Amino acid sequence: MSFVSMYDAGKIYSCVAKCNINIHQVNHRLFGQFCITLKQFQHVIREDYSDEFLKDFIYNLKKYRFKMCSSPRPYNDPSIISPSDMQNLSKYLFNIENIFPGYASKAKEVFVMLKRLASLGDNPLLEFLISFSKTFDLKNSALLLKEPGSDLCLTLSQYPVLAGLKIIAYPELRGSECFQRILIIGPNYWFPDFIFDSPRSEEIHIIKYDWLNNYWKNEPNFVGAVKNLCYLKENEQQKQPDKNMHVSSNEEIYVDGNEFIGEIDWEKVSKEYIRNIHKIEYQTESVMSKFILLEGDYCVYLEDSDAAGVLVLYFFHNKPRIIRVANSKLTPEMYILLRTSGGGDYIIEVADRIMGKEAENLRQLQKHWKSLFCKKVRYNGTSETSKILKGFGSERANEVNVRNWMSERNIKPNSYIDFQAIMKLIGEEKMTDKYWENARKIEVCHRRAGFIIRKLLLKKVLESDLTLLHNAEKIDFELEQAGGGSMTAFRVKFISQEPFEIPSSRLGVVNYIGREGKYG
Amino acid sequence: MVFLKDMNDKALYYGITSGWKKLPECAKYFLKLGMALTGYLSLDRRLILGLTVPTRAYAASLIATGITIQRTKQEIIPNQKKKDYWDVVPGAQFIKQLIGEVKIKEFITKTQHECIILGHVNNLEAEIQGETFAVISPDKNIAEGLLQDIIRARRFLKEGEGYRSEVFPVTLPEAPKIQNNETPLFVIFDGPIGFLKWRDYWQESNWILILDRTENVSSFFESASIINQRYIQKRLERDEKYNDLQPVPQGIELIIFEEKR
Repeated sequence: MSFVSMYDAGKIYSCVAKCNINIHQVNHRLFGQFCITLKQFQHVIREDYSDEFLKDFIYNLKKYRFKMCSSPRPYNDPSIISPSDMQNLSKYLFNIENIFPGYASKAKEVFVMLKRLASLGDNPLLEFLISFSKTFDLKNSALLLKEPGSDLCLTLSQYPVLAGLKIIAYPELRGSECFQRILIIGPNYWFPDFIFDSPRSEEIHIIKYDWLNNYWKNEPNFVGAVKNLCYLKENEQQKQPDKNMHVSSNEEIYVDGNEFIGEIDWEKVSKEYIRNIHKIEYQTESVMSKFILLEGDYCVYLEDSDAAGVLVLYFFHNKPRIIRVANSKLTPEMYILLRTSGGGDYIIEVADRIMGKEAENLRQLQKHWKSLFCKKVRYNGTSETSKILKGFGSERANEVNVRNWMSERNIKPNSYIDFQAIMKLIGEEKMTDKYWENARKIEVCHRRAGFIIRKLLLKKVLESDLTLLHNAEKIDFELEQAGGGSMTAFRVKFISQEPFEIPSSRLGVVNYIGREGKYG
Repeated sequence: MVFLKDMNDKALYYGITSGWKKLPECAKYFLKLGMALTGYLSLDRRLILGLTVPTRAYAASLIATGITIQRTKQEIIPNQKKKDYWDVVPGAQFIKQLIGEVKIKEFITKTQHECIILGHVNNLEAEIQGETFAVISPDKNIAEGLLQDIIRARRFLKEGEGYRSEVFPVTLPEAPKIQNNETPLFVIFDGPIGFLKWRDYWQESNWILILDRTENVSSFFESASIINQRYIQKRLERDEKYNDLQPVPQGIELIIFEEKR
C-alpha cells in the first residue's frame, strides 16, 4: 500500500464528492450478430458442453468476444485473432461437424461470422474514443481496461489525438494519482466497486456495447450504517448516434470479465500437469503447494505453508520496494518476483571467485569422483547402479537420483549415507570424508554465489523503470553477464484454494499455460 | 458535544512546498470525530465504530489526534504556573493552540494509553512524523507542529519519554504487548488485518475499524461482516444518541454502536 499525502487525500475526497458517471453505448452490426449467435450456440450445445472439442471451440470464440468487448482494437488485430488461430478453429469445426453433426450448422454460422470479423479493420470503441477526443481534452486522462497490454499502446499511438491517454489497469486506481477523466471500456461489473465508489477522477465515462448492461449493487458494507455512503448515480445514458444499428433491442449478453479465469478447471489443469511431471519425477520428494495463476497465462506452484515465502514488489512513495511475504498471505493483484532462469554458468564463475585460489583444486577433486561415478553408471546402467548403491546402504538411490548425482549441476547427494555408497561403488571409500568436505565447500560457495546473483538481480529490479508495470503482463529483469539469470515480476491473478501435491523440484518454476510457451 | 469549540477550525493548515494549505474537510472530519468519540465513553458499555473510506490516508492518525486532544483537555488544570517548560517542548505553540494551556511537563512526561493504532507503520510514520500542520491565527501567527506532538506515539519517541499512544505493525507474529498489560482506551485498526488477527486481545477497549474500499479483498469483507454480526447480535439500542455526530462527508460510510462490557 503506497503512502498518500494530505494533498492527495484532499484530492481523492474531492473526486468522491463531485464524481459523475457517464455511460456511452456503441454498436456494431456484425460483431453484435456474432455475440448473439455465439450465445445461441452455447445454449444449443449446453448438454454436451463438457466435450473437449466443443469446450475449446467455445472457449476461443468467447475469448475473442471478450477481447473485442474490452479493448479498442481493430476486429482483425493479429494479437487477438491470428491466421493460425483461424486455422485451429477450422480444425475444431471439422471435428464438430464429424462428431456432433447436429451442432454443425450453428458452429459454422458463428465461425463464418468470426472469419468476416477477422477481416475488418474497424472497431466502434476506437471510433468512439477518437470522436470523444475531438470534444474533450484527454490530457491527464486515463483509459481503464480490464486487460491492458503493451501492444495496445502501440495501436493507440497511431492516433495523435489519443496521445494524452494513459492506459491503466484497475490496481493503479488504488493509489493517490487522480485524473481529469477516466474512460472505462466495458460494463461496471468487470471492475471492482472501488473504481466507482472511491473514484480517482471527477468524471468517469463508461464506454460499452449496448448489449452489455451495467449492474450497480449500491449496497452499504455496514448493515446499520448511521450515515450511508452516498452512492454515485450514473448520468443519463448517452447513445452514440447511429450509423450503428441495434442488434436486437431485447437481447442482452452477460460477458463475464473473469470468465477466462473462472472457466479453467484448476484441478484438471493441475492434475494433468502433475501427472506429466510425475512421469519424469515419480520418485522424488513431493510437497503440498498452491496453484498460482499469473498475468499472461503463466502459472507457478508455491509451497502451501506459512513458513515459505515469496518476494513481492510494491511501491512506497512511488518508489519500488521488495519484501518477503508468506505464501499464505499472497493475494491477487500483488506483484511477485520469480526466478525465470537460473544463474547457470555465471553461478560457477561467481562461485570460483569466492573460492579464490582453492577453486582449481576443489573443482578437480570434484571432477575426479564424478567421472569415476559416471563411468560406473554407464557400465552398469542406471537401474543396476541404483540397486548396487542400495546394497551399499544408500537410502535414496533410484534411477532419477542416480541421474541427478551424475550431473555436473548436482554437487553431491544431500545425505552422507548416499554419498558413502557412491564412494564404495567407485572404490574410493577411504577418501569419503575428503570428497564430502570438498563437495560441501563447493556447495557453500555456490549457495553464496546464488545469493550474490539474487542480490544483483534485485538491485536491477529496483533500478529499472517500473512505471509500466501496471500495464504490462510481466517485466523481465536480466543481468548483463552471460548466463546471469533472470527474474520476472508477475501480477497474481488467481490463487487456488485447494492444495496440490507436486514434486519439490517444481516449486517456484514458472510455466506457460497459454498458447506459446516460454518458461518451464 | 465539543467540536473544536474554542478554536476556529478554518485556521487549520498543512504544509505544502509553497507554504500552507487549508486542511481538507475530510481531515477536519476525522479530527472532530476522534474528539467527539470521547464524549460517548461509558464504564459499562464499549463503543464500536466502523468506517469505510476511499483512502485510508490520515483517518487513523487524525482520529487518534482528536482523541488525544479531547482527553488531554479534560486534564487541564486552570491557573497553572506561567513558566512551565513551554519554550523547550517541540511544537509547543501547536499543542497550546489545539489543546489549550495544558500542564506541559505532565503532558510530555506522563504515560497514558489513550489509543493504539495497528496498521502499516511506514505510512503511519509518514503521516504522524512527516507531514507538518499549523494553526494560523487571524494575525498570521503560525503555530506549527506534527501530529506526533499531540498523539506522542511511543514508537517515534526516545526511550523513557512519556507517551499517549502506540503504533504497531500488523506483521508481527504475535499480538503486540502493552506495558504493564494496560488496556488502551481506544484500539484503532487501520485496515482489516490487525482487526482479524488481534481484536480478541482488546475486548475491553473501544474499537475503531478503518477499511479502505480500494483494498476490498476478502479480509475487508470478513471484517465488515464481523462488525455487522456484532451490530445485529450485541448492539445496545441507543442509536439516537449519535444523532449529534457531524454529518458524514461524502464517500465515507460509518457505523457506530455500543456493546455491553
